[in-house]
Amino acid sequence: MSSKWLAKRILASFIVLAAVLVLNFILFRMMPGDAVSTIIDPSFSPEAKENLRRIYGLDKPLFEQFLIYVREMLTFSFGLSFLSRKPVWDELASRLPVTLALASASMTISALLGTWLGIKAAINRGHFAEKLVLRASAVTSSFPSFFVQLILLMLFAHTFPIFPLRGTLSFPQPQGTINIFIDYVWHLALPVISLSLISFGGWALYVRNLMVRALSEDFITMARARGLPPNRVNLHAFRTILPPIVTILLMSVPGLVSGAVITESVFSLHGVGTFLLDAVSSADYPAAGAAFYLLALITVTSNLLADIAYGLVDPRVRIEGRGE
Amino acid sequence: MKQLFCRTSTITFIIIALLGVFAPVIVGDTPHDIVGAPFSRPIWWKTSTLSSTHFYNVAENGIQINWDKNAPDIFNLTGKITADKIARIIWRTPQKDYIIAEVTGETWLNIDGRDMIFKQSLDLPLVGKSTEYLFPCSGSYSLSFSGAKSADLRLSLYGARNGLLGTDQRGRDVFAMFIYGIRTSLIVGIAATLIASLLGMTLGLVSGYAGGLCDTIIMRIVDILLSIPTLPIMMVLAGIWGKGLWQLVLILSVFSWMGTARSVRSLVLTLRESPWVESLRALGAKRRYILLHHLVPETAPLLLANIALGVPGAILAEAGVAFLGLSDPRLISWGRMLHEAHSFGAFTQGAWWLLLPPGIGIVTICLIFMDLGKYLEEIIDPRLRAK
Amino acid sequence: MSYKHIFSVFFAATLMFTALCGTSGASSRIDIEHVRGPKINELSMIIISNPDAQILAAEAGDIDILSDITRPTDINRIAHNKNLTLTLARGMHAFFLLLNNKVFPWNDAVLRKAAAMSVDRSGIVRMIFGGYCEPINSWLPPVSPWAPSNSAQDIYDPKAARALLKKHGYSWNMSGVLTAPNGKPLPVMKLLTPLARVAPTTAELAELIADSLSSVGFPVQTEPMDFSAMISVIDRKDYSMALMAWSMGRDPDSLYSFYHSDMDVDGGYNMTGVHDKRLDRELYSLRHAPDKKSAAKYAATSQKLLAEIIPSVPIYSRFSVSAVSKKWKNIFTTDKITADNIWTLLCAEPKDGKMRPMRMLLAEEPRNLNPFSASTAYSWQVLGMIYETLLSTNPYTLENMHGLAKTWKVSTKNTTSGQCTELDFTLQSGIKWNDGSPLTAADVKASMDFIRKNKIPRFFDSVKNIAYITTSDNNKIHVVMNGVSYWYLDNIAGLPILPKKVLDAIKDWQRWDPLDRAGTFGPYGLVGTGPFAFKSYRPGEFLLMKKNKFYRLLEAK
Repeated sequence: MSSKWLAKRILASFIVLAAVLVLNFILFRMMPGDAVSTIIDPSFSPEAKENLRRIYGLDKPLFEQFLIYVREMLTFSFGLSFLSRKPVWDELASRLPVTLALASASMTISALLGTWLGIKAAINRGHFAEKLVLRASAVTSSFPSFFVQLILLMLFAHTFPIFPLRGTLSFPQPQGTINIFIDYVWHLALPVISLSLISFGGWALYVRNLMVRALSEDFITMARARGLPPNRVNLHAFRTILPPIVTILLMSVPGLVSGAVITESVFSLHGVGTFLLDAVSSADYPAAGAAFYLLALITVTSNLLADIAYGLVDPRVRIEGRGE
Repeated sequence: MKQLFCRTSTITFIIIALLGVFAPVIVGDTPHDIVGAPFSRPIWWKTSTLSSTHFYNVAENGIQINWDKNAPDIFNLTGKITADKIARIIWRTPQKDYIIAEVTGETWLNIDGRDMIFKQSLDLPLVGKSTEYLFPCSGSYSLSFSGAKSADLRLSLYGARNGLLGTDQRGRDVFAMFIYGIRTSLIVGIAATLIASLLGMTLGLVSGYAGGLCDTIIMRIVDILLSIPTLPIMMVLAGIWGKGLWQLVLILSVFSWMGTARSVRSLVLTLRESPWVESLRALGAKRRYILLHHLVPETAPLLLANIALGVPGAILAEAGVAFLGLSDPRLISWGRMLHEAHSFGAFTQGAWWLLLPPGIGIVTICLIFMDLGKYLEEIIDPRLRAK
Repeated sequence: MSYKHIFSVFFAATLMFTALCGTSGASSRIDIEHVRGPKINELSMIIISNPDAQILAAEAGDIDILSDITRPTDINRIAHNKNLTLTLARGMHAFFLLLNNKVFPWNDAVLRKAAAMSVDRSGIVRMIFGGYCEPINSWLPPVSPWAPSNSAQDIYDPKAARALLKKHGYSWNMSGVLTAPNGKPLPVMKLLTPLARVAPTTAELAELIADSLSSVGFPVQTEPMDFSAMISVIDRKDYSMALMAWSMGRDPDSLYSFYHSDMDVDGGYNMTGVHDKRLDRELYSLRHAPDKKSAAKYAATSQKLLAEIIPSVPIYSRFSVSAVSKKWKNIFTTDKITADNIWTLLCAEPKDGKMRPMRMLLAEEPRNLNPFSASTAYSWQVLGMIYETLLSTNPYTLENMHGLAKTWKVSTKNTTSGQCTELDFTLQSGIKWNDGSPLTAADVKASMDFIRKNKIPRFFDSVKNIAYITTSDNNKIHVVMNGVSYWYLDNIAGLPILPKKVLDAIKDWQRWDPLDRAGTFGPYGLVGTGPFAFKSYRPGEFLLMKKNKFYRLLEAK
């Protein structure tokens, strides 16, 4: 891989990041009102409000606010949330585990299941199995996430209370690390199942299409003609579609965090998604700014990694740019 | 083409679209009206319980009612009563008599079992339904007057079954809202995707064909937009632009053209280098001519497939925004119905009729478009067709 | 069709809410002077934000006290539950229709009055709240001891509203729209309402209000918008009508903030833009009343004037409803507070005699437990059990009663530069912090000085008029204010009191995290005098409190 291409690609990522940074600042300031103006409490006189604005740093000229904002973002010291007056970083850190657990578990399950089903469908073309996979994938992936979650919640947490309604921990807290872990898994089961359910279909369809294309490539036909056993042929084909799978895997990371907003609010989870939602809806600039920035960072990094992963295998991209 | 129109999904789509267009004819033009008690079940569900509304006109000689169902949800008495001195309105149940009002002179009444003052005047518990005390068992009930000169009252008893699909937490007809929801979903889905696809195609064509700085800028914009989390940014933009139907369409299209632009661009990149376009260029064809007459038609099937596959995305995004309670409350949409079901206690009520219709509606429309998209995709790449 | 609501009015006048204890009715009057507690050793506050999960948890017996049940269907549902008792009380919450008094057409008091008479409050209460609210016709919630006696009256009378308008020269055009006496038809007015995420029922309420008003000829359309956007529009007085709810204190002093012309400034709360000289005079007198008697007098005159001017239209006040598990006895409720109060936490004991932790719902994440920067009700639901104030509120009358202070006195002093209010508090003897050290007057002074010195926004208005504070005898505090106001008492007596040694050790009041064991910006721990002390907090799940071993009301062993 040429280092020039890599350098160019990294530079481009930085430009994107910088643009998102500026955009975040402008967008939030464009929203009417601020965190102070929405306080409706007769014991807060205009004077006290001005005081609060000073503490939040909203009284400073916009450009100065911008400089402070940029400095905070670059040094990852996001300041205090307007709403809770706690360091944004601390709050994000306390919420990250749930979101990470949710995202990684559901991604692993759906990617593995989807890939497996997709390959099954592709190598069983024309059979009932293919039709079944195609139908099931199409149906499950057209369910809105919250609808599936609401139904699952209603069925398995209310009508048949097998799973808990909310949170990640029972009360009273179980004793022992293993029990706490089991409890954790039990609590996250419904959210993870629901997320996997709606996203495995996309994977299956995608992998099936890739595999079908790969199986009709000339070299596979050749391999077949040479009398290679079907399993070996399929393995060959699968190896060729591995790079796009890895790429898509990396590129679906940012969407997981975005999707966490809805999942976490349905299952009342203490995660980054609900934090983001609260921050945006209460004009909590430091909190929302930091969350957006981190998300952009994740997105840009995973896109870059996807590019590199793709570039490693397929040298054409380096000249042509990534094709889709 | 004929094949396309014979597909089940196409036919279903046309039927659904017609339902949406003729919604006012089918369910009337006031889907927001309160038609019954909150959380009434569909009329065909658990038919042994009391159905919709029972009205009784009551004159000064009172009325007798034989009751063999469960208690109604709402007890409402309105109208005019005139008394010489003092008149009492008495509700006689098999177990106990209640004086539900004492009036003097000419009085307009509007008594409702839900009112606190009503519960208190009858010495009923202030929390809980008063109708459970007014209708304790099956048997003979009567509403009578003592000392009334004339009465022209109307007694309305609302049961817990109403309409084809029941009612929501306000007592609005779920079926009417469901039919109206078609409009929002279709308009948002199709309009947003059309705009996004046209935008994506134009920018993709320009970017791919022109290349250079123009290409870099457009692709960077694509990268930037892809790096912003969609749902939260839609919240922010909705705060700035407003939450109406068309603002929503605009916001959705601004954030969904990038995929199309990328695929059109890469298609153009391959086409541009193809010997066929090279030959056109060698023959001296103008750039504009090549773009409009050769590249656009080449990208058309891809675009169509993109539109069809994009609609479910837009519909789901609209539903997501509405589900988080961020849409215009006057705009009936399936996402909004699910939001209300979620936040107003459909769960604890076990009101599945509030969850299933909008959810299945969304799924159906998404499936239709996915099917159409798949069909178009297979036309572009026949290898994908299921054998 | 129009109804003359004689019936409603007749009963509203007699509606005294003497025994509002819902289905329980069991709570006999507890002598608050002799309460000893807390009896429980531990209080577990379970964080559940989803309302469905809250209800189901209470039904499953996972929660003993469930506060603030708002959805009528939940109330009706729990009323059937054999294991839960519902308690109901009037609340401090009030909901208003704001009218822009500065511009046509709402600059006419007659029109505002007619609008007030055209809103079908009872209908709204029935349809949106299933009856669990009350219509109001006052600018203070009816539960406030300062509210007039007829504050819960439904003045809905569209026929009279039409008659009133006709009398003052208004007419209706062909399409039924009101036309002003000068021949100008009323423009189509937008009724601004906050969005569902902030206020789930408001949008529907707005539709009902708009329908009510339209039927009398007011051309009204609802316009839902973001809360912050709505506030900024109202701040600029660039609106015609808006809906707004706020939780008011019991004191009528808040009326000054909402209706005095001085408050019609940037960031001020005079959102209706009302400027009325007579009202200004009464409100000024109310704010600067020297004693309780004159405060009561001006509270009455101000509210009478408000009823005449009608700058905004009061719509309803919500009842607060809470559920308590029947497995507990000595649950404390009055007609003014529901069971989820500090008295219940002091008195309650398990019926079966087997002591166990009480479980209470915490509806949102408290997030911050720094008493100076925490601003949400949920933080204070926790902090309010740890920190006490000089005076507390009598649960039967909502009047002041002793807290940390045993006695108090408000007096007016004549000085060379005019009159000023003096407050004298005498602390109860023998009070200890939850770390065992004694509370002294120096702690009280230090708390006030700390707030003054740092201009802490949340308490700033309460302390900004303090001239100086002196202490004597270790248990007497003397506060001299600038200027005269009876409300200085409530302001000062409502401040949280922290130990001096803690305050002295705080390095940065904003960044101080009492749960930070490293003590980066201030000392670790929440040291208060309240009945409970902090035990542990697990974000997103629960917060545990334990009995304060040194609490002043503990039963003597």
